[in-house]
Amino acid sequence: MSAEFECVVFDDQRTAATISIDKKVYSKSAVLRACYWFSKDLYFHVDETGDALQVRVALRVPSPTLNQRIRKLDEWMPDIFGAFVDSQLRVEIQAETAGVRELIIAKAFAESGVLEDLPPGTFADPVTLGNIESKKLIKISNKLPE
Amino acid sequence: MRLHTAGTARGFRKPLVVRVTTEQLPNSERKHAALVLSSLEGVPNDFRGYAALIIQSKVDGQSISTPLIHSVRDIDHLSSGHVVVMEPLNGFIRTLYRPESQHNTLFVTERCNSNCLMCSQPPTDKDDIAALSERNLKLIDLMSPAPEYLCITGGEPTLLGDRLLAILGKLRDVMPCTYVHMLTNGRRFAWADFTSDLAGVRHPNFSVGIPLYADHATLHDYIVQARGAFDQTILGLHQLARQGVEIEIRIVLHALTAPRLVLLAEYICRNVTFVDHVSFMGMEHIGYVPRNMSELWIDPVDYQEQLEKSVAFLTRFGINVRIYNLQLCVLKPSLWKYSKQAISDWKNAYGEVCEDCTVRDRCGGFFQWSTKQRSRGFHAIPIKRDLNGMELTH
Amino acid sequence: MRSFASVTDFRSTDGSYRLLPFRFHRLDKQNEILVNECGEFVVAPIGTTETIVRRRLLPTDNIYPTLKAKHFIYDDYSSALLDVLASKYRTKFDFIHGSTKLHIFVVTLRCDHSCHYCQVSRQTVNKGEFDMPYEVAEAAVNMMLQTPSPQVTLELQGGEPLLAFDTIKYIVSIAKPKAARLGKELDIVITSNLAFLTDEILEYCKAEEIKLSSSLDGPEFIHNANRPRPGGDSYRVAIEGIRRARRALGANRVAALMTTTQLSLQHPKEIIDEYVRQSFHTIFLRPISPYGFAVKSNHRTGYEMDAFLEFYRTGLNHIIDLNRKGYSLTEIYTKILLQKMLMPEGTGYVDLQSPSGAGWNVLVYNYDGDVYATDEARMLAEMQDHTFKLGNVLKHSRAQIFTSPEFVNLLQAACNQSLPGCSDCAFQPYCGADPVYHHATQGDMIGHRATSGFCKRNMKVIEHLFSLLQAGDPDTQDILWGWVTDRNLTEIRADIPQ
Repeated sequence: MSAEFECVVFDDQRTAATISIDKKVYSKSAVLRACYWFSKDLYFHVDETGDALQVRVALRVPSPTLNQRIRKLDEWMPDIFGAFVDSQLRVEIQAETAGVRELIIAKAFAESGVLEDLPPGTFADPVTLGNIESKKLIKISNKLPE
Repeated sequence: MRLHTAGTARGFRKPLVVRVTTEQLPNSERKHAALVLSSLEGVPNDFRGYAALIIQSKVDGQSISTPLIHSVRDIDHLSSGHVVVMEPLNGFIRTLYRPESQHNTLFVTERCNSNCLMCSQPPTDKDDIAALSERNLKLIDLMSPAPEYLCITGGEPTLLGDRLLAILGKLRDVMPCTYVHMLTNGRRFAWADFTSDLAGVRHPNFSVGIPLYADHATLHDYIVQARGAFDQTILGLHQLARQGVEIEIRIVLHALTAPRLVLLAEYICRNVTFVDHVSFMGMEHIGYVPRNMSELWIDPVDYQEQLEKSVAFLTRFGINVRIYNLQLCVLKPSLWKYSKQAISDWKNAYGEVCEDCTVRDRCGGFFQWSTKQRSRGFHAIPIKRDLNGMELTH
Repeated sequence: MRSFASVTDFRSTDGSYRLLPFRFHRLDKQNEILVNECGEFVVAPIGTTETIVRRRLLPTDNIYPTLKAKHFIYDDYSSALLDVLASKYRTKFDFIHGSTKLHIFVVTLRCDHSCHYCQVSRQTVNKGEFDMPYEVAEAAVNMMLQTPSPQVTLELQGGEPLLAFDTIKYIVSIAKPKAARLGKELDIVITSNLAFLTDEILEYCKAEEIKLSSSLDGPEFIHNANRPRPGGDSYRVAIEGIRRARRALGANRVAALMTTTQLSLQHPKEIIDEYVRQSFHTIFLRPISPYGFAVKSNHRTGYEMDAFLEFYRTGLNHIIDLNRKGYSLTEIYTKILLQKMLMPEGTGYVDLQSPSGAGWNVLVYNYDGDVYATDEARMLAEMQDHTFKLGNVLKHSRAQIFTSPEFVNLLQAACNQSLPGCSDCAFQPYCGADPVYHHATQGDMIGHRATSGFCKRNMKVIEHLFSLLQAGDPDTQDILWGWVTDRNLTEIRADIPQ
């Protein structure tokens, strides 16, 4: 399979290529982390040029040996792109959840009661609230953790 | 099974909690007793010391200073040892305790902070806690012999606050061997101080039964009609576990709980793994249920798949499971071994369809009042099966 | 009478939601798996994570309430229940509590066997300078019982420990009373090839309630090939030893472990059948560890992780089949992983802990008093690599052991939460950190995930287990759940609907 990808420029032997990545879509951290997982079979080199990242990728073993068939670089491309997408999602999830994650871990290892939240809402019934009107629902205000 | 009757009250202004006797007692034993008579004819006029009299026939003009209720409709159901409350305003006589029953309850309030769509005892917003607590404290003193098992129920018992602690403390002191099970929505236990106080009573034989109807707040809160209930219940369960309280989770089976039943089982195993049992309950057709039938009704034969999968999940994980209020003809045979007969003896009955059933003796039957919605699965089981639902060949 | 509210009163009002920490992984062409911070998981179609993160998920989607229930997202209708999450997280890390629970005493390096994969230098059977002196033994026992843990396992190893039976007796004689005085529960086990198992030793083990752990690599031709000894009869000796030990101590006090070699890899079924033939009910399919003698005799024992994975999958399949047919046999590594995936607890198994159990949960006291973070760390020292030597019982206190530069160094690489690759991995809660392994195989404690044998093996095994669970075959479910809850197939079937 050798589909053409717009942002990919292959070398003549198609054992190496340069992938241009828009920095507004994929962060450098995401790209580097994605490349890390392929480093058994592929070399990577990442450069920043203005708005883009230039990712140079090459097969570690450019030609097949007697007992090892190798995957062509073209066949690696869909996996590489998939990895960039997944990796970017991971970076975003981590950024978004870093604070609450630290809070969970802090709570986990704090002494009993020290970092615990008060229970949400009230357990009162209409008689406690002394309000016939409140046969309707009791409004609970929910503050999300800081 | 009759549990109440009424007549005309005379000679007392506050409710009387008394122990029934159908035989005359020596003076020393009369203090908390109520003598039951069909009439005063031929009975020596020696009622000094009795707390009260219950007389079936009309009594007028006689000078009896002992508090009494006369013209009582029925007295046959009253036997010695029963504890009743006699109401001064309307002459009601309500049975609170029967030593021969396996299912005695301590009813503590009609108030509730939830409003479950299928509530079998719909709450009233009447502040009855002080009066009922006073009544119950007296009742505890009069229950003799002490029951093996006592259920605290309402409404919502935790609304009693300190009074609940007092009742539990008294039970601990007066009848420590009685196993006390409290039905509660568990919400107040989210407040750690209260839970710690409750555990601090150190009742030696105490457990709670707490309903959980869904694996997520929206559905559970909708079913119990209270915002925040799910969160409070889960947090309450955790506080109870911290205090070492024995916990039963109860799940009422109906059209809203059945679809996510397996997910609820998984939620229980992941988030409240410490629970001691999970009980699945068939829905009773009383209270709010008739009013919400269109949302709640599902023929039990139609949720057997989910029930089986849910039970499988819990039992694989290692949690004990029981099933109540479902008839054997409706339950999948693979689930028979979890089925417990526990419809209170005063509630259950069998229909004509049950006459030829070979496993009647092991089936809970169904509620006297479930004449309306009936499962299409009701039928007599012609071939006897063993406790595991396997056919017996003889 | 009160009125009833509709379900819309119990939903989030603005349709927005927030994320709780989670990671994800592509399982196969159709599905990805999302795993939250406590190891709870959801298997969903590929693209689900993207839908969630890009805020295309609607409260009316089927998966929305499930994601809330399983702590992947939360919204303004209800609490995120962070305290519950924290409680679950804490339960997973309970193994940290109490510090060192496993204490391995190398009482001698002498051995009669010359196993190819052996992780100690071979010495002769004659007594010499390779036995643990009593002075060292006493200091090691004292250090062992300083651990905070109320439960302590004393494992006597070697070489062949029965060659130093007097030393064993001495150690037990001082450890037991001291443990009792400190209110600690002491479990004692001897790992032995059983070649020197006299009746006297058996009676002693019975009297002192000591367990025996032996080696059984498979049927005779594999066992003897792996474990040469003068006379070439290691198998016969082991079987006879097991038989006698069982009779004296009871079957539940005699265990067997196998070690995998190139030869073993070709015969998974024969090895498992041998365990059945010898009436064992647990087996541990583990890869060969790349330390000590194994590295030197690479041509006999070098192998690729792929070959091990094939061996494992075939072996597990065969084991499940045996269980299905009524023979109760648990594969230990599978059980450990499943417990991490399905149950609230973490694990006591050092190799799959993060923070790594090296040093913290296990300490090795060598015959010369040197203290090592793991058994494998000791093997490295045999090859002059002292990276994980934490001190010496005669020179250092327990506090100094745990503040040594070697231990502090090890800690830098001890948490997979912060290791490259691992920090992104969905299987992080199920896996562990093994700084000693990575140092030995890759020259770097932190390790390189893309080429790590440890990573490959765990990832592939975990993927395999998820595929078994997802496939949903009822027998397999019953068997696997039985393993994690300690019930055989008959017992679990009595509990579940049938």
